[in-house]
Amino acid sequence: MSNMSAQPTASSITIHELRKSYGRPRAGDPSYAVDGVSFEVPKGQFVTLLGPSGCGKTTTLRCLAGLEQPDSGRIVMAGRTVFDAGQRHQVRTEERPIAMVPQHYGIWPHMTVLDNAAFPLRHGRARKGQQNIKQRTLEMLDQVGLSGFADRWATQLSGGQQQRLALARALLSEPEVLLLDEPLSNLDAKLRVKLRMELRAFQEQFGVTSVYVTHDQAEALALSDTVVVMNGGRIEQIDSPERLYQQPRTSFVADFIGSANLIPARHVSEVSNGFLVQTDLGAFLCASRGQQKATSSETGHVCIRPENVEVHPLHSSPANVADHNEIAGVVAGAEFLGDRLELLVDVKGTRLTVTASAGLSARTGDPVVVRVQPAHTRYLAS
Amino acid sequence: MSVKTTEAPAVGAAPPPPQQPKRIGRGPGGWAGIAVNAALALLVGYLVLVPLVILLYSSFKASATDLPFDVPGFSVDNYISIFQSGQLGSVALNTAIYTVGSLLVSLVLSLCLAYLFERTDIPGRKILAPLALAPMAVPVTVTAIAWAIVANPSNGPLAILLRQIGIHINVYSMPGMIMVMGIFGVPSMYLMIAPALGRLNPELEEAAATVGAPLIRRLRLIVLPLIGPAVSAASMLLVVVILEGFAIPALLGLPNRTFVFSSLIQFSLQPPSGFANYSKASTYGVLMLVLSFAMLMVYRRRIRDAHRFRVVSGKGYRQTRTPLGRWRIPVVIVVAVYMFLGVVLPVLALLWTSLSPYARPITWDGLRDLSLTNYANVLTARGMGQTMLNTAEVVLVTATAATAIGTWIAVAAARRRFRGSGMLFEATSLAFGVPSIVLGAAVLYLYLFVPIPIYGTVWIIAVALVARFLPRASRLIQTALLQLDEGLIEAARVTGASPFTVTRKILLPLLSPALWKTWLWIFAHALGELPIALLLTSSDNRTLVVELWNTFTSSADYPQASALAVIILMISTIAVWLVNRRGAAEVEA
Repeated sequence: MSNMSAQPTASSITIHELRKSYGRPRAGDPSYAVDGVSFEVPKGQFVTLLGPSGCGKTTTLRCLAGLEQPDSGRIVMAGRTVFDAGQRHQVRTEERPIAMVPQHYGIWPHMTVLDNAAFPLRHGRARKGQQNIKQRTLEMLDQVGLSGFADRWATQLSGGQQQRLALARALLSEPEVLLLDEPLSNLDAKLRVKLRMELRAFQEQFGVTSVYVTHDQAEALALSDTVVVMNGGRIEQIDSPERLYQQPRTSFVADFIGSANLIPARHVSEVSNGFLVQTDLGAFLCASRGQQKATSSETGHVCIRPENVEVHPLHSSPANVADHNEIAGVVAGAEFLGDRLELLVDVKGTRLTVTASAGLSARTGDPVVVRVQPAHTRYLAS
Repeated sequence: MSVKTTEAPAVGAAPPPPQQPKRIGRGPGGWAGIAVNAALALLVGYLVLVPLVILLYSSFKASATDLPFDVPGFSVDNYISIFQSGQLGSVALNTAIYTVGSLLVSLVLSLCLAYLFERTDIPGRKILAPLALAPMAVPVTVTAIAWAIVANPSNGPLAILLRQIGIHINVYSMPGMIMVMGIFGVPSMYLMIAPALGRLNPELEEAAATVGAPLIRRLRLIVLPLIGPAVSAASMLLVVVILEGFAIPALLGLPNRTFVFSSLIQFSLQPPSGFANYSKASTYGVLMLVLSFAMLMVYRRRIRDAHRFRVVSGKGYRQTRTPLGRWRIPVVIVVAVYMFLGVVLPVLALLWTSLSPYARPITWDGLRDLSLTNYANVLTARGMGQTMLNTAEVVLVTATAATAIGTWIAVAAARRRFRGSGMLFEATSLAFGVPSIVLGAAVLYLYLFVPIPIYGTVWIIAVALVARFLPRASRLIQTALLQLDEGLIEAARVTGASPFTVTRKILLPLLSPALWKTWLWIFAHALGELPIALLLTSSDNRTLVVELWNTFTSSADYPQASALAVIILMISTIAVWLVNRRGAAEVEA
């Protein structure tokens, strides 16, 4: 077997300019499933690839696993180049220091639970010189709560148990990198939340570098150290969950992560403490946080999270409304959700989604004033 | 018995050619795999291609009586004389009438049965539907003999029964051949049509009913067009089967010299006079080959278009059945009568005759002197031990070799690991278009003239049968591979297990039900495959089916032939039953 000992590096995985197309890209019409993706995963981190279906996240993961062969780019894993299109170098799946939890778990129906879990030790890349295979496997099964099932047929397990078995099998192969392909998508909602906590706990306990693919933003935010948001084969943003939510860089990210009101910008000018953006609804002062300066010709969107909007009943005439970050509108719809009130506020034909406290008495047709702090208003150049 | 041998749709169909990514690295095992592929390519070429080339070569050697290799030079005289003789016209006409007639009988019967069992509330479906498929377990040679016994004009029970109501039937005639082949074709056709009807969303038919269209119109305007692709694919496949079918036209057509292509080829090679006409046989063989390939090409084209109609399939609807109303009872009586006459009676007559001292109608009086004497005579006959041994050798070797080679070809093609795998797979599917009588003749020619000392041994039959069943084997296994979850294989690969380990520990165990099924399927069919064994037979390599042919045609000893037929039928039934039992176990798992 190949030498798996990794040189100590800061990054466990480096992906550089990865491209992959299915079928033959015709000249002039290259449609890539993955189009120039580059990112790094530091050792021991939990990184999530997040995006809608067809965004290339699973393809990226399969390229990492060596199950797909990229058209171009470079992948370095644990200090070893496992793929380099320029040098026509490809390390095969079985020789990469990985383990994988596939979407449908890949539990072999003709084996018992124990045989499934012990497969990496008996037949995997580190099969030589393994001792006490059965005992170690049983310990691992105990850790994931399957010790009582060791002698059952794998098909007798429930969905959640199969998922745990797949994880146990993956961890037993002691990988440098753990790849997880939407492992929770086939479970019901409650189990999903429970297993997602378990998953993160195991990952921290074993300290294994993990790459996780999902289309569920809640999962991504809850689990990850870093989230890579992908769309149309490209990366939209790489950030921590908090920054991703609070400081989305593109309107796609703002819309995909949580919910957001996106108001098209008409004119943008830079002011001392941010941007002053003219829109059809009025002017918004947006605080700039680490953003590049914008040219006035640029257009884009103003992004406002529903929970950051303050709503007040309008008692006086609209003339009293401030000249920016404050607009008058009419309640077009109200939904009481127990802990909060979700309002649709109509402003000159545009509808804003607003989360208000449950105590607010607003009915459809009431005139209101909505207000946002500049710190909560973000300008997104498109 | 529940029969679920889904053989037909997959056979001969073109698999979608997947995009083959160029592999950058080729593993250490790569060259060995390519070497195996090359060896198999040679083998397939040797098994199929070389005999056909020899056949073609022989057809250009004009001489009625000499061996083709002894004739100097080439000429198209054979073709000229065949096209000038009146025989080609009459044989072609016979073949056309026989093929179209049998197809129509099969089509009408299987369409009616499939619609009744899948879409209406006909009572007794649970018994009648499996019964419709039960004849799959009966080898075609046994079917032909059973019908000869049941419907021969002198003492056939069916003939006697119908004579009482003034109908005279004679199975030794063109209508007789058509009826027997037509009924024989029902199960395989039913198997292709019934699933199409079952998948058809009843809402489509109900929508027509709600606007007031009566049943006949609904069938004609909605149901038939929607299952059209399945029906036409099944029809074309059956035409290939009818064309190459030998036992029925030979056993039922030869007594009054009604020849079709397949029986004429055998007759030219093994005439009663003993002087084989090699050039005539080879020329007719080439013509038949061309015809069969043409049909297969049309079939493959149709299959390619079939996906257009996929939209009609779908899950999540409630299966509602069309009520037959007051026709419910009359219809079930008609179906039951057909089942009795078409399925039960031939086997019953076969059993009856095998237990009787001489061929006679089924009567209560006859019950008294039934005995197992015929079986005892057959089993203790001189040379029977050798025949049994030969049969066992041929069938076991054929099933094992064809399954093993077919597995390699299908797996290599699906996994696309080695160069040439896809091509190899396509090559075997071409062999599907070679009629067995032509293949048998071609192998005969090859070994007559190339001095390899296996002529006259069981090995020559095994070689020809492997060539015959290889396409089926690789198709059956490919179908199973397509249904296999790719994730199960990938899960093993990412643990770092070597490709060999993945194949041995994961792929083959997961495939094992399909491998068993393929093995048993070939076992059952090799047992009843007459034309190849008959053409390649000699004193030392007789098999059971050849023994059956000889007993029936030469000595005309019906009771002994029946006993032999029942023995073959029993072995074949056990194999088919095992296939389906495994199929059922798969569903439960």
